[in-house]
Amino acid sequence: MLGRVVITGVPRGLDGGSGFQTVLRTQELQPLVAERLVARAAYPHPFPFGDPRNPHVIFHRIERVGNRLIHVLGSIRDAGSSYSGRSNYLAELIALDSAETHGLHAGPAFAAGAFPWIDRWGGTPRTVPLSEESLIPARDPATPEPPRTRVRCPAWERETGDGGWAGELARSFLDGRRALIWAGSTVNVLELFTEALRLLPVNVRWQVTFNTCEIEPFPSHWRAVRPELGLVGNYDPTNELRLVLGKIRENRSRAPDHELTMIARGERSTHRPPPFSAGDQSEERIAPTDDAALRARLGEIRETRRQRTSQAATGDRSTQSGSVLRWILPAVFLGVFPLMAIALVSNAFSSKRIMVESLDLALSADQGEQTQRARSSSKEKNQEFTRSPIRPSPSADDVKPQAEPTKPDPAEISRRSSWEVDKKRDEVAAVKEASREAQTAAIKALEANPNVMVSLEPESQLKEWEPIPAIPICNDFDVANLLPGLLLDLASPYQAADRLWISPVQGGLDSEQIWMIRGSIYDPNQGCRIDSDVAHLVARDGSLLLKCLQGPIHELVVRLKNSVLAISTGDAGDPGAATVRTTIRFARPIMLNQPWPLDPLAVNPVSAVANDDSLNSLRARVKGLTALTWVVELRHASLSGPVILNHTESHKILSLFRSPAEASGLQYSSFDRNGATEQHRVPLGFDVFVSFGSDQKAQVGMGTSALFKCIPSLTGLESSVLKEVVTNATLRELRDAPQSVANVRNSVLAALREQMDLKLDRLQAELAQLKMNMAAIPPPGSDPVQAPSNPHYRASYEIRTKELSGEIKKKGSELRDHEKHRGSVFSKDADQVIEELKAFATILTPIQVTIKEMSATATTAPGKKSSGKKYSIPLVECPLEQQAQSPSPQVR
Amino acid sequence: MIADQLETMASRRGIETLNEITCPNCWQKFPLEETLAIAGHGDLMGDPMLPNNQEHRRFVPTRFTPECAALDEMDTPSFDLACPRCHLLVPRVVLERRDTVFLSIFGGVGSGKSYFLTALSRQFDTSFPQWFGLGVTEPHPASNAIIRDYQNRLFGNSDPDALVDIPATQPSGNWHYQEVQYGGEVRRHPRPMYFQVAPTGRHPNAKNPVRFMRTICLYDNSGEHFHPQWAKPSRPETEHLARSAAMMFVFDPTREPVFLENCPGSLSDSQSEAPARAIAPENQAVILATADQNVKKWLGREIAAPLDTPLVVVVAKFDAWRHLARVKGDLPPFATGLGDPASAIQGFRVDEVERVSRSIREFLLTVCPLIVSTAERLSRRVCYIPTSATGCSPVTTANSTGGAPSARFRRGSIRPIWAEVPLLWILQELTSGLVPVAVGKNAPPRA
Repeated sequence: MLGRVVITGVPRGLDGGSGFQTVLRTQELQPLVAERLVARAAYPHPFPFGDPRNPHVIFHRIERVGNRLIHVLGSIRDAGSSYSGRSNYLAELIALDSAETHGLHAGPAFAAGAFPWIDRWGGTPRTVPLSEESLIPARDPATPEPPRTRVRCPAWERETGDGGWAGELARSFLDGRRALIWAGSTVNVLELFTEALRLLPVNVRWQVTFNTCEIEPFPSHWRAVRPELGLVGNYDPTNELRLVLGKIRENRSRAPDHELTMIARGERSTHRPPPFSAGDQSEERIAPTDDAALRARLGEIRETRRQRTSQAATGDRSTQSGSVLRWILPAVFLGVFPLMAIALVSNAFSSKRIMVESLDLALSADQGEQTQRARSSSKEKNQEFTRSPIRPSPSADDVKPQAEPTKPDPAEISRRSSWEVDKKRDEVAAVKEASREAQTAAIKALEANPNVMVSLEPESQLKEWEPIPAIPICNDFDVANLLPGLLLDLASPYQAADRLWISPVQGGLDSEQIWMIRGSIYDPNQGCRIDSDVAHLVARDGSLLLKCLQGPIHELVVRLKNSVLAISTGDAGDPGAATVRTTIRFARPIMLNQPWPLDPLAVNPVSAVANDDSLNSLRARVKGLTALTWVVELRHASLSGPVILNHTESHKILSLFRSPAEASGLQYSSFDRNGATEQHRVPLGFDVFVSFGSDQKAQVGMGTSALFKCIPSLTGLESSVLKEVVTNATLRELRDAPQSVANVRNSVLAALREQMDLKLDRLQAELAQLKMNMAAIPPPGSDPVQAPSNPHYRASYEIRTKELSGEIKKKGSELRDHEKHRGSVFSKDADQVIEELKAFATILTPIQVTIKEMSATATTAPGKKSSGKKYSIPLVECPLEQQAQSPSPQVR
Repeated sequence: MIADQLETMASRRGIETLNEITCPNCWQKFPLEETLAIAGHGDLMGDPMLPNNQEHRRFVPTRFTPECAALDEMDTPSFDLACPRCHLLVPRVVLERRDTVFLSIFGGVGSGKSYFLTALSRQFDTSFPQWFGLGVTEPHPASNAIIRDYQNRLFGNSDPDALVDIPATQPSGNWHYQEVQYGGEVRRHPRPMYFQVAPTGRHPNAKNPVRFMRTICLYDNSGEHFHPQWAKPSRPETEHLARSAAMMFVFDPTREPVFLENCPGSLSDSQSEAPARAIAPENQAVILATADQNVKKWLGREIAAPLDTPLVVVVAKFDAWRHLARVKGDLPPFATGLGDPASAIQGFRVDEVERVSRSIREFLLTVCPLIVSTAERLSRRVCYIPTSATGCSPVTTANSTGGAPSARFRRGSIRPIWAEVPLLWILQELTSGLVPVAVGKNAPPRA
């Protein structure tokens, strides 16, 4: 036992306070554990305090404290009125170490039942040494002696008429289901739990958490609820075993027959429990006589649970389960492998089919709805793949995908007359045939001449453009009225100040207003500053968004993004003019930690733009045009075939390049409202950026910020330095000319040494500065004004010096680390590093992106519901060269 | 001119949101665009930071419906939002329009904080709309379960002879607190409760309620949390004191040792006799001093310099010690024209309340001066307001289980005294155009 605490309402507790205080504590109990135990002492009285109907709650829960798991056994009961005449409770909680429970074979319910809980507090607050604490009995005398004796569950027989229900409860845990027992106040729930736990293998008994009467909710495996109190928590209602003891007894229901229920009824002998000698934890010694089927099932369920639960919810149980897995894994492997193989094969077929389906659907008539259907179909298939092959009970995940409307179900067919069905089928087939023909023709045309404009829509779809009644333009943000002076000052953290000009721009969607921001930009070719467009200010949905037209690493853009914009009104020359300070909210959060320039290494922005005429034509006819949608085809060497992306389908692109091992580290780097730029970081070698926006362009870029994380031979420090010296050109050279490794190696090493030296100097300077700062803080009492000896300054002094000491320590450690690696890293490992770089560079083959389709929806007003109608927009191909020449597209 | 334009713009917008949100749970400030969405699909249960498995998963919204509802990974629209730091629910009302007014109620164990809060919220249905034309609504009813439970317990019993009480607020448990897992550490944040006060009915500004409306966020902590030994970085239960716009210190003079010493045997409160006589009296100035030190520490202020945050010293259980105070007879009406049905709207008599405050201050200076000096070191805007949440003494009954006698109140005798005055005083200090204030003794109220 780690220790015990008792908490109740007293005028003065162990820690000196009044109210609900700790009145007894084990001396050796660690403060963190004690704090967690105190946090678990809560008793919301279901009845007035002092009422005998208030339940005595006994529970077992597993807690993660720091990086260790502890088991908490608790007893909480009503204690009448406190010293102040108010409600009171008496809570007694025991903490057990996870390893300690291996010696307690009887399980938590028996331990809780056998422990001498106190029922009244009357003494003075005190601490107790651990040696004086009561021992928890390790062995349950009711457990049958080996070998293979029969057990019975008398409490279950008494309460339900069938002892088999104990086996059903035990089975629920092995099946990964929670159990809820409706039990009246006369039922001894702890006894029921004790009997059910006897049916489980010894090594899983302590994994079962329970609550004998739920008044304070926590998600235990087994919980009992009193009918008069009702449910408090509702955790997994669709997959929960619910036993209403009164009903079972009344109806004389019999538990379903399976191995555990038969054991519980005494109809079959139990498996032999493990020997009870201390330290006998090896699973190999337990395994031979254990029930193989039970063990295999346990392993499957554990695997299922591991997949289903989040990583932080259960914590690290490796210390507990490691030894169990040693004997479970082979059985699981044997049982699961064939099913996994089948699932893999079927998934491979199905994913291929999904891709084809997606292509079909994306190009067919009702494009949005069908793409959505394909997506959901894909999701369900993926879930099927990731789910554990054995799943005992159906759940919401198992819902079958919706049948496609193109294939009506048989029941519906029987209701209709046959000619109607035939007609419908013919129509659908005709539409699909037309789409397929158009698609085939388009692909052929694209392959023949990539610069030709191809319509991928069947002619009938283009005729669906119908204007809707015009509505008054309703702009949320009236910048023109707010800014009569049309001047913009950058109040930037940088030293220099810039003045930018803003002017309204015609065009944009009906729900938008756009202004151009212009400023002086240094042109290296001309050697002087020239006025250029810097960004667009877009007012949309009540927000001001900034869309930068220059490269993201451009100095002015960086400053603009890091600035608070001070918008001047009135005369620009008047220094006393009123100023409105506002913060521009960006379409995307700024990626402060982006270590690599976003200049793509192998960008292949084969892109399409909307045909201006057709778009204008559409705009003229349809008011309230918004929410542009793109459908993009993506091809890459690592893919077996093309993949269709919709800009709302952000998950697909992530799943293309990530490895399963790194899936957990996947993070979104940004997010936004509809239609604005989307960027996703893929932590495998390179980044893929897919940008969609109201500038009617889609671009795909690749960065290398994550490349160096994948090189195992590099330390964090080295990879950070390497990132600074390996340029895009270097990687391109490695990719295109593998024979140039030696040259690259030399240049990289030279640059590395230089950078490492610079970094060393910087670290030394920073350390010296920190030490100077530390020395500059006067100690208390050294100066009556600046550094008095009063407690306030003393506390402040201690805090500041402690912080600085921490920083100095950290910096010193970093410096030592750097000095240690400076001489050695790139001498012995350099070749390996370069080889790995080369290997990774091969990944950087061009990514082929083609915009397949563009459509728009219309709303009646900003923020209002969409009318639901989609309008396709014909596209023209935009070749690479043209993109490069016009980096600042004008929005019309 | 600029203001007019801004106002015009505001009136043309659909929903006006704040640029920076203060989380009502962890009091972290974050920009609007960093708000997380709470998944709407039933399969997406459990969040890594929240030990309560009943919570839906939180996610960074990347896809939206045309109605601006975030789509979770199962394509279900989700309308609830969460704080990016603590992952706890942030009601939409906190994001809208104006900064939420955070109010903190603190005091010692058994000082009557929960009773005061209950009596105060009870007045939301009576004096606020009837006298001052202020409608008080619950913008997020799910968060106010605690206060509704209190109201049911105290005022819900139709039998006037029933003995009722509010259970002692416990320092832990899911009912009052929400747990968040920060690494291996679990921290508890008190559950916020929200009320929205807006001019309505005969209020002069009733035509434009949205402009003058304010959202109030309150917390009910256990008294144990305000003990000096409780304050640790891993225990943020009382951190709202530093973030609040105003504080209310519930001071129970019947448990103050100096008060009992100066006025022996003169209390009419049976709560101050058995069983409370048996307990060790508590020096509540320590609670106040602890709050003073903690708040200034969190705000990075000098301990000796008082804050500008208004502080109301709610001198509770007035019915037990009213005969000792220098207030002649009953407390004066705090609203103009009380009892006059012809009066269209009544004004809050600030001058009268402050006159009583000065009187109570003088009284406290005589019997427990440490409270006054500590309160005035904490804030330079202190008001001492006598209140009684129940207006009557409790009835002590023997405990059937043999413990200490229990103290409960007879339902029919409960008549709160001045329970709403602290909040009215705070609102008139913090806002303009909301609480109608009486200018002179007989002058009509102004809003």
